[in-house]
Amino acid sequence: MSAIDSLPSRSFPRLSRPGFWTVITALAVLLLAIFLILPIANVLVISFFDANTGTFGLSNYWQVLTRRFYTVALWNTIVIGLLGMLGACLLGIPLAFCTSRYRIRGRAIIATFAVLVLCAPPFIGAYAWIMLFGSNGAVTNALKTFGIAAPTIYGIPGIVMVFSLKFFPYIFLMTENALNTINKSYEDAAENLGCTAFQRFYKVTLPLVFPAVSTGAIICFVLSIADFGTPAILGRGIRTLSTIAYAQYTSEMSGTPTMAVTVSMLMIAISMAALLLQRRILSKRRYASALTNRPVKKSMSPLKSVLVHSFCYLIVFLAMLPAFTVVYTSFLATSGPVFTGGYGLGSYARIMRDSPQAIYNSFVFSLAAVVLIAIVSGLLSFIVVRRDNAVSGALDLLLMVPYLIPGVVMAIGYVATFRHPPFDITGTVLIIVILVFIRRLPYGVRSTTSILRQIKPSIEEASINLGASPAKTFLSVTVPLMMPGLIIGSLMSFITAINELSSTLILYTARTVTMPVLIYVQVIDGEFGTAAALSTLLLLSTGLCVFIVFRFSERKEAAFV
Amino acid sequence: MSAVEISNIRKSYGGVVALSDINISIPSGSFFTLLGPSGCGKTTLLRTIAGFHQQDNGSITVATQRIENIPAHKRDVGMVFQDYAVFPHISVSENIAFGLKQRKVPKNEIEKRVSAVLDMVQLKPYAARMPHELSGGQQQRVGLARALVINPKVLLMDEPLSNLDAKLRVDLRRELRGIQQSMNITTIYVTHDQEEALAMSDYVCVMYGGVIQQAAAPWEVYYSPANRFVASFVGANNFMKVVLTGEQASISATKVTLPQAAKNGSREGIVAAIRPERILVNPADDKSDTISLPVKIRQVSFTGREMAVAATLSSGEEIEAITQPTPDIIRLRPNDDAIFSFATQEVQLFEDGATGARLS
Ligand SMILES: Nc1ncnc2c1ncn2[C@@H]1O[C@H](COP(=O)(O)OP(=O)(O)OP(=O)(O)O)[C@@H](O)[C@H]1O
Ligand SMILES: [Mg+2]
Repeated sequence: MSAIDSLPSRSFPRLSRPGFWTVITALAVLLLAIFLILPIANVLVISFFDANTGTFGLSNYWQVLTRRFYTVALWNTIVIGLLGMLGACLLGIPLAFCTSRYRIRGRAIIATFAVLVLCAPPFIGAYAWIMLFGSNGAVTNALKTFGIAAPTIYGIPGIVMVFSLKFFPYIFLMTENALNTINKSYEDAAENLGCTAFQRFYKVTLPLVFPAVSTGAIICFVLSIADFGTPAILGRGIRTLSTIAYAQYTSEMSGTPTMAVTVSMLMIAISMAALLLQRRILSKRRYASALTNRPVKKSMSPLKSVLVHSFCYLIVFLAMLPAFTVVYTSFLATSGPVFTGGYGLGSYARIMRDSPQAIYNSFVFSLAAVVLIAIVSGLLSFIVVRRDNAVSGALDLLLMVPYLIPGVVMAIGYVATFRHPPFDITGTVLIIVILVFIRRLPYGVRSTTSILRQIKPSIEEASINLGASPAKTFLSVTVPLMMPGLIIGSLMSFITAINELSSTLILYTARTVTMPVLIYVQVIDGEFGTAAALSTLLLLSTGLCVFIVFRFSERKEAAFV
Repeated sequence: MSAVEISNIRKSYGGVVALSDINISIPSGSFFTLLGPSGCGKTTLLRTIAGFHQQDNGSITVATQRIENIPAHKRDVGMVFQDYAVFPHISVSENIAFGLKQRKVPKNEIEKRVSAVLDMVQLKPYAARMPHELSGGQQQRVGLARALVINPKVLLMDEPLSNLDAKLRVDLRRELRGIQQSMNITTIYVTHDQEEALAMSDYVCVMYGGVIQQAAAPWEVYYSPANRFVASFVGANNFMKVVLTGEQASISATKVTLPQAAKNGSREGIVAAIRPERILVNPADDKSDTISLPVKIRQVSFTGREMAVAATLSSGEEIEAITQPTPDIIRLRPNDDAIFSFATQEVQLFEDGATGARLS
């Protein structure tokens, strides 16, 4: 018998109720539109209305690009960004080369320190260096007794040094990972074709790791120009865009923060230009290759070994020096802001007495933000990975935006946007939590996305096929399988959330003060003892999270970049 | 009444037409196999039935119920996946109980049914194991048990055995067929392994380019292919151009007498098809009603049970015969001359072209 039958075609109405994921996608778009796009759009619009006359036009930009006050800051920012990036490369690339090509004892320690440096609150570096090399610093005073003038830590050189030591782990970890995954056959082929060791490095290895190096470099650049704490503490009259944006904002407090906003737009434009440039350069270089021939680590002659080891450990030691200094300082006995000599827990007693609110706030805000991040990033990554449509592509792109927008700018955007009743949330806990949530959401999404890509869609289809609704499937199948990524993503966003300074500094009130804000205020006031105790607390929580991530993630330090 | 009726199903991805106007009706309790080359739309059709793709047009009826617009999770069609898709985070028995829990089946009944199906797929001792502690074949048994336990109206399988090694594949396909027959469950099975399709199925449905070429019993598809594509895809076949000069037909410059049908299909040109196992090599006696063609031997290979003799016709076309290994044939060497002959009634005529129609 023939099983083919011809039946007349009938048309029936399609199902009209929108599915679970359609609703979630709509909510996600709404969320990002209100809390990400709207504030940035607002900042953009404000920047086009003249600060004095209120007329529409480019007059603010004209001012920023012509008045010396601003142009000097612009110049400083670019110089600091480029030099910071360069410094990070000069530290990170050789270090990566050493650890990936030579047998280094304690490579795990080097990698762990690098991650700790990466995760430590950025402003700690600045003021720890002041405590060492500042006008009244420990090293400065020690050298003075020998009649030697210590090099100054203030100004551009100091800022660049702090940035180099702070951001080199990005370069190091990314480059090392790339070097470890280069197929050794390329280098062997170059050698076989007659290249010397140096030519081989210069002509084959370096171009192959260029994508990783440049990605790391661009991160360093963007972070350097966005950083507020370091130039604010070390600047001593050196203005950068982020410090003047903050200063303008505080001086324009009563009115519209027009000039602060215009400066902010300039910062975004620079970050964006840098990112686009890097994308453009990278688009022509895509090297995928099977890792059939792993690079081998060489052993070294004793002399070389000593030199290479000293080099590696010197870098991470210098980078960790601020953290060591801070922890050490926190155990010094003080009387008010003065160190009295000897050791004691006085600083801790004082922070427990004077600022329990800040400690409590820091943990509660960060936890609240992280819970939101965990939930939203789980859902968002599903949309981005599993739903193949224009909206999910746009969401993926949109999630890059928070990386690019300096905290100061986002915060100003929030104040400008959410101050009109009935949506006036300025000065509340909510505004801080939401801002931190939006700013750190990409960390969560990146982590959950990468794990979701490893889960086969057929697992979810099996669940649907067995009768579980899409929502039920997500909860009972996808989420458990995504859990490791969710945990790592949450921990990493917690680390960045609890150390957030630049945006909270603009949004905080007496009730919503956080540890980083308090540390900043105390450093400005010269209260180094309590600042050190608070910083130690931050370092401790950060270190704990790093430790847990190391336990949970197979990729260890690579998970952090 | 058929268990599954698929009418006028059409599906395209952007500009690519994956299914064009599919009409199938599958009798209740039968094992129905979709067979076709890669990219012909088998998976697309199966996933459309499961509800993972929305068809552009057409209807799907399962046991008198229209399901084409029901969300996938309410369709009640069981599915076994090529990559097993066993939930890695729960145990074997929890995997099997998953669908029953969604259906709010009482606890003690779940236990009973899970235990019964575990027996059926011979996984009793593995009930408490986690999926990563099972071999591929065992995981696929879990996949099968999980789909069977909900008593689906129809069972869908997309190349469920293709990730297993050859020996296991044969064992498991017997077992699968046995279970299917004992449960009398309507099954739609996808494979591109024609031996598997012929061995297991009540009906084989050959697809090509998103179009159904033929759907019939395995032997019918083999012995009576509907068109040239089916003749060439299912089993091996030799195709030879038929040249018509007036009323006289010839193959490879040898005059032959062909059925009347040959004269009807002269538009595209005609090809004659003969199965390799129907060809005699250097036959001793010349029977009437046979076609004998002179050939030059290219290669003789011994495959164990039989000999494959590859040769070239004087027209340059290639032809292969499969015969018993006799001393005479083993002695053949490349470039030897030989005669290939076959009965005229074994020849099937097709219009030329990939899916040329059957003429005789
Ligand atoms: N998601 C998709 N988007 C675009 N085109 C698709 C998609 N899925 C399948 N196709 C196309 O539809 C056609 C049919 O694909 P399908 O997967 O159904 O083939 P198949 O018969 O299952 O092949 P195989 O034997 O290789 O599994 C192919 O041409 C394929 O390229
Ligand atoms: Mg397929």
